[in-house]
Order: sequence, then C-alpha cells, then structure tokens
Amino acid sequence: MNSIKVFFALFFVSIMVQNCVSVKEYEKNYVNDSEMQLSTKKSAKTENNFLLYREAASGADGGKNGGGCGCN
Amino acid sequence: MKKSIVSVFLLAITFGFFGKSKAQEKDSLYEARKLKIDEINFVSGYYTQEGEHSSIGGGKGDEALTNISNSIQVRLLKNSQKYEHRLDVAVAVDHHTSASTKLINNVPDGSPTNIYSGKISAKTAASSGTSGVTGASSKFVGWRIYPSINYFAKNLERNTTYGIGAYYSREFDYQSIGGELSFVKASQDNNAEFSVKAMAFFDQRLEILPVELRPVNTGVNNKKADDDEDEHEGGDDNYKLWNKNSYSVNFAYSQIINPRLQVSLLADFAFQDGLLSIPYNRVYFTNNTVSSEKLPMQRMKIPLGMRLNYFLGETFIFRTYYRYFFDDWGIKAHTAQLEIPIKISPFVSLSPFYRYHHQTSNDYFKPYGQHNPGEKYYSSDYDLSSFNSQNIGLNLHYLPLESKIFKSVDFRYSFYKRSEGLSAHNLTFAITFK
Repeated sequence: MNSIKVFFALFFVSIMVQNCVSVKEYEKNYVNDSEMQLSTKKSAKTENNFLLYREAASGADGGKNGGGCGCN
Repeated sequence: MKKSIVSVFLLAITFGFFGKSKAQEKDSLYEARKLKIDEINFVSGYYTQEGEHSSIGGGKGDEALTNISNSIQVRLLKNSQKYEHRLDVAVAVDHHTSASTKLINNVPDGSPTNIYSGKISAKTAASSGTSGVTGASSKFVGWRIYPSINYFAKNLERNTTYGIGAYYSREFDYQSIGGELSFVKASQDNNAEFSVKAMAFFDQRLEILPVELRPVNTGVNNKKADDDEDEHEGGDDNYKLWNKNSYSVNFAYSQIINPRLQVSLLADFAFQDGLLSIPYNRVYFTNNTVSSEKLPMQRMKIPLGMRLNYFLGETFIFRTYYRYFFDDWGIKAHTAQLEIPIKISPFVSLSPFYRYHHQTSNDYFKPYGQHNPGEKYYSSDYDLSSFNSQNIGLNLHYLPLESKIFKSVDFRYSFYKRSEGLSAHNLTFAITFK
C-alpha cells in the first residue's frame, strides 16, 4: 500500500514537471501576485508558532523543525 | 554667409553629439546603491487556549493559557553591479500567562505524592530557589525574547544566493543559540528554484521538577547520571542544566508550471539529542506513584511537504498545502490546508482557510494514571497523543498601493480545535512599511 502511494505521488509530480511551459517575465502577472507566494504568509507566523507547541509534527513549511524553543 | 551658417550648424551638431555621448557614457556606468531599508515588518498576535489535559498535572487539569506576541523585522538592501546584499534583523517578544504552571510548585489536588522509581528517596518541601516560578500566585507569568539576524548575498549573473543566519531565544527555563547556512539556485528564466538549508540549535533547559520530586536542598547535587545521559553541570544547587541539540537539513524545489500554476516540494531531515522531555511534566502510574516525564534522548523526524497555488480566473486563488510526517517515536501525521483568497479588488483580498491535522500517538504516551510501573519511557503530554485537529479562519489582506508608508496590511483570525478537547483562538495583525 505504501509503495502504491509513493508511485502515485511520483507519477503526479512527473506529470506536473513534464507539463511545464517556459513562462516569460511579462506573463507572470498571476504567479507574481502577493497571494500566490509559495512561502508561509507573515500573518500566519503566530499560528505556526503555537502549532509547534500543540502538535507533534513540524517542518516542511520553510520554518523550524524543533529546536530553538521549548517546543516539540 | 550661407557657408558661415552651415559651419555653425555643423559645429553645433558635432558638439551636441559628443555632449550627448558623454552623458550616455556616464549614465551607462552602473552606480552601486547605498544600503537602504527595503521594508519593515511588524507582526502582533494574541493567542488564548482552553483545555482539561494539563501535562504538568499528568494529563489532567486546566490548560488555560494566553500569549501576546510582538515581532519587528527590518530588511536592509544594498545592490552592487554583481551582487544584491540583504540583511534581515528581527526581534520578537512573547508574554504569556498559564494557569497550569502553578502546578509546578503545588501538588495537584487529590493526586498521589508517593514517588516512583526511587531516585529521590524522600518527599520534600517546596524549594524556593527557582527564578520566575512563584507558588503563591494563581497564574504563572512568563516572557520569551528571541532575536535573529540573517544575511543573504545573491549573485545576479548566476542567480545563486548564499545565506547565513544566527538565532537566540530565552525563556525562564530555556535558552537557545542557533545558526543556519543556506544556498539557493534559480534557473535563468526564474521559473524554477532549488534551495537547501542547514540549521543547528544548541539549547539548554533548566531541570525544574515538580515540587514533590525535588531533592532535599542539601547544597549537593546527589542525582546519579545514567550511562546514556549527557548532562551539563550548571544552574544552581537545586536545578541541573541539560543540553538539547537539534540539527536539520531542509530541501525545497519550486517550479512555475504555467502562467497560473506553481508548485513546491519540501523535505526536511531532522535529528535531536539531549533532554527531549519536559522535567515538570508529571506522570502517574497504576500503583499510585508519580514521576517526572521521561522520553528517549534522541529523536529523528522526517516531514515531507508540497504546496500548490493556482490562480483561477481573475478572482479566486487556491493555496493548498499537504505534509506527511513521521519519526522514530512512532508518530505519523497528515496535515492538509486549503486557503482561498478572493480578490475583492486589485488591492483587497479576503481568504477563508481550513486546516486539518491527524497524528498518531507516540509509543510512550498514556492518559492520566494508566502508565505501568517498569516502563522505560512514559509521558502523559497530550501534544504527543493521538488526535485530529481543525483550524479554520479568515485572513484580510490589503495593499494600499497609493500609500507612501504602508506596503501591506493583514488581519487574521483562526479557531483551533483538537478532538481530545483543547481549543484556541488566534488573532494576528501584520503590517509592512515601505
């Protein structure tokens, strides 16, 4: 079951990458919108902070992965 | 006469041509910009929670807590012909009050006080040597201050960025010093980007035990170290100082798929060693004895994440996030979030969001009074238990394009609820100055 999940995940990623088109700078008005940024929003900073303490899972969001605080 | 006029005209054109060329030659020389403040970010948050499974009470008791957080970050930029230099300096201060922390210096009502494990040979009176922990007040008031500094140098020709950062954090029983190194490589068309970041934190925690578990204050530290413990002698005569080290390597790859769609893949590999339990967390056993929480001295964590953002039409944006987490303590977790910014105007967007999280319990958790004597590791901290949680809220984003002072303003509210009962409200105000 786990190998099937990994297979579908890799299949999905490969489909996405193969369908990439070269986007010119003048075509990036949508992807450059402030709401389209791939990083965590600044306004979500305090939320992510308390989640470090209240949940056992952390990381893979551009932030810390434990350490630096008395958190999990 | 005609010849004179033509000569003057030709001379005028000649001098005009050379004069213009000189001006162009001067303009074509790149002049490095001085160091300037690019933006200032201010984030203020208010957090409050309620619950009935206090870990200090062994999995039972009031978890009421409020936290007020304020942070300010200043971003400085300096450009040369080949490099863009960026310096981020930030400082944040948290102020929190907690109903359950009073239980550090007070035995919970009706709870057994017979000590498990026999390391401490006798029940003791409350020790008064701990700064910041008061037994008289009904709530504990605490502060946390955490400054940071990050420097990045971007090679504009190669589209590569090198970064270095330093972090510090101080709480009443916890101190952290950390650093990071980062590398980012973007494609020439800026459609793809790969980054790697290495972080390390060297933390120290003061071992403040629950009052009934503290050694008699004889002026001598009589705790015997086990073979697998790495302790650092410090603190005062009553409280030892323990190390906790955290190391992680974080990878990220982002790709613009088409003019409306971009994705990123994230993977972290983290390792921690040292004191990973919280000394003032109680654990009660089936034989009516009590001890301090005990967890393994090492932990390896691997979270894998993915973001996908899509701009639909002219109004809707879909921001999605998924993470799968697992570690060697038995925890497996799935986290998924969907946020839909709705562009009410080019300057204002309203974003409802929903986050769902599911985690399994670690191998060492049991509720109040259910741990069996003889277990090697034990915890009743519900943050490490099995639960589902939901976080729902709304974010208002405003871009005052005509303002000369503000770059953006955000208001964000969220309500958080765990299946075992804890609930919380979070309110954030974030403003960016030009």
